Amino acid sequence: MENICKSFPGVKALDGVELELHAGEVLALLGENGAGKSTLLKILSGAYKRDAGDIYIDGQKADIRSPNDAYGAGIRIIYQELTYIEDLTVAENIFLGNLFFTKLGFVDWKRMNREAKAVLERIGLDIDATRTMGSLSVMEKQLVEVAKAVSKNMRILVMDEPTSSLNEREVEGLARIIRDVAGKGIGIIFISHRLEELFMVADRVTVLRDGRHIATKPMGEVTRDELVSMMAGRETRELYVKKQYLTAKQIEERPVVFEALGVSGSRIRDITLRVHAGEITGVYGLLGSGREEMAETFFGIHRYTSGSLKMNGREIQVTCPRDAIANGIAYVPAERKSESLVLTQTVRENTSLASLAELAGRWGVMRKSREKEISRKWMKRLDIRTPDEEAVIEGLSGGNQQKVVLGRWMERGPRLMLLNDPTRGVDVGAKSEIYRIIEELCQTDTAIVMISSDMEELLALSDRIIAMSEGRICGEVSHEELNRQKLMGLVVGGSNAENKEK
Amino acid sequence: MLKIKKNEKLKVSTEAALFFVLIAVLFAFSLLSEYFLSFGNFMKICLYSSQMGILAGGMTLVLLSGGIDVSVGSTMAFAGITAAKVMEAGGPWYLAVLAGIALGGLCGLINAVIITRGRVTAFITTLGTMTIYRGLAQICSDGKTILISDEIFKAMGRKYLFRVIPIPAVLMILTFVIFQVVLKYTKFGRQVYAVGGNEKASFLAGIQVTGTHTAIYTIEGFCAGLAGILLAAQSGAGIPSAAGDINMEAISAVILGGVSLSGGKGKIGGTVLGVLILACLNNGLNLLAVSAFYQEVIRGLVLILAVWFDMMKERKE
Repeated sequence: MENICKSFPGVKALDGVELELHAGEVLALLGENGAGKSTLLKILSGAYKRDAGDIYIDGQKADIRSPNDAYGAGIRIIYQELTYIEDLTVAENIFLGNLFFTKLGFVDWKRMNREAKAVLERIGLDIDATRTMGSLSVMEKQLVEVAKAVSKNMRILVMDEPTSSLNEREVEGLARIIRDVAGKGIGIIFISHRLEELFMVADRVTVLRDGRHIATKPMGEVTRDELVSMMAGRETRELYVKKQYLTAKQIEERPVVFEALGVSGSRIRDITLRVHAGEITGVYGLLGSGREEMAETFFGIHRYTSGSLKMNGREIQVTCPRDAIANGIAYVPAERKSESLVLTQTVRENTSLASLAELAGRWGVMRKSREKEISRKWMKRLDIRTPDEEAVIEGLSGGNQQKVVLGRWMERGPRLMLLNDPTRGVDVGAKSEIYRIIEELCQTDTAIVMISSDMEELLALSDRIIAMSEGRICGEVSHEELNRQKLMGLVVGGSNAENKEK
Repeated sequence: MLKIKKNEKLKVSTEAALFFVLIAVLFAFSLLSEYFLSFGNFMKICLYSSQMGILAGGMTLVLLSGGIDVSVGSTMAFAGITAAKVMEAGGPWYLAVLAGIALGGLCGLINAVIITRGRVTAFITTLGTMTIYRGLAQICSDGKTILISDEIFKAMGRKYLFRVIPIPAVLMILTFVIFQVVLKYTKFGRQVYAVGGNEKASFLAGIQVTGTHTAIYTIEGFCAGLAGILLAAQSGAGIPSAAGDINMEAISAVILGGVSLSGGKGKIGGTVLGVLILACLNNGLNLLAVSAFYQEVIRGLVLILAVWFDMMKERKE
């Protein structure tokens, strides 16, 4: 792939990226969240259209415009979220879409099971093809997906974080099979955040950062630390810098607003966290690290099975968002359209969504003039660009929509504000405006916990950052000692430490 | 046809278009039948559409919240039987009315509990309770029609208020007015739209989603109870097999009125127009002596056309 460019409204996701894959090699593709890995893959698989650049396969220019083109060119992709059908057998899953039929038009089970067995054996798998997919372990499912991909004229196999839910022994098994498949002359692109296993499986590594190609090197010539610093980068963009950060000591001196003491749930383990008034606590972690689940547990979306939550020193019971809101907690979810907004309603209605009870007068009749007033107040204070408060929110830009959501919560004057990727899908201009709003919120002594997959954002806003991995808090850094390498090392190191424990 | 400001076109044009359709229907039948266009006939239209209209009023809330309730016809029959039973046992007419309406509310509440607590989809739940309530109505009445002799009770379904407007029509209009006020001006109305528009966002904003759903189905149950009372009063009997396809008619009227099946979008005004259009069609076709079988085909076609038209319009935008 040469000089691949792709822009989304407001973001340049890929900027002249190149990638070279040899037959029979395993290439690791590395980069933090948002570096452009998935976008690059989606272009290779035909799911996205590239703005510029060319793709060559076996020296021939390949014109990939749709998933069908990619398939025809011999490209197979195994996504992190596996796409199989639980209730069908392994054989059916392998040949889904081109089942074998007898002359009478019935499914030819004998032939299908036989062929499936052959396919599985080709990658050295010993799985009964007549078992249902649902009865297999995650690792086996993963391997069936590989088998499925191998079954037809494959040239390139892409595996997107295939090991994220496997344990160390299974990873070794998978690595062996991947090497086998590569040995048959197939080029494999392997994505993983666990650096250790890359050394086990990959021949070369390509690092992306901020949509740019940083380096491509043989695995033998780089060290783990070099990879971390390549991923993290050195220079920081001056998107926004806070006026004044709190030092560790200053944070300690402030009153504690919110406390989580040894909180565990289905996806988080033993979380202890104190958030102080007017402090921004950043939360860094890779996908699946439990960062989202932690915030969702504080907000009552998930139940916690042990531990306790305290607000201003008093223990609180949170079993649903309503409880959390009543205790002064606010939550801005990452998925704006599906979790924050009622798209069919107006700016006014969306602003007052969390304050309906406060805005209702006698007989439950809404005080519309008061509602209008509030809506206008936030439109003005947060500079929400909309024709008027009666405009349907669907028509607003992502940034303005997010400001409405922020206004909705600020109206309640929360004591703890949980932000989950508050600038996802927001253009650069609106980003810095949202940063300004978050900082203003801090001035009112609201405690803020901000999860973000954007490291720049965390570095620019946080007074301290906690790192999460595998559902635990695995480190904490105050602003004075903050830098990207350190953070990246923490989360990657964290998961490695976990692996060693096992 | 109509030039409307851009950001309002969706809301306004659905109702405007419906109004135009209604006028067209009225006009066509006035030409075809000399009896059609008269005050007396219009009151008759209102009388015969009142049960369906009352159901459609509650059904608007149900569809707005993203749900559906196909059990209302059976609930009506069950409520009618209950009222007839009360009077058969010597109870006064007002007790019979209360019992019928209360039973309707109970049926709705049961639907709500299964849907919200049991997490069974609304369609399946009400499909099940549709046969259950029908069966219970048959069991209570031994499968037989129970005649009603109480004149005051029967008058509710037949008599005209001030000799001008049929009592059932008054109740229907009252229902529409109440729902209009509730949906437009109250906190509950806002919850209905919010839950239907985005249930998850509503939940995360602290809205009592379960409570809202429960209230909606219970209200629709009350509506079905009331409609059942009117049906029993009109026919002078509790009939266990009555009101067979009125649930579908009510749902048709609401959808025809522009309420989105996926929830969150629509107004009572649209439902009123939907009910009127269907009622005028029924009445007009009857006056023209079109066979009932053809009428059913026509009603089905009108519904499909209306929804198709609405979808095409939205897609263009």
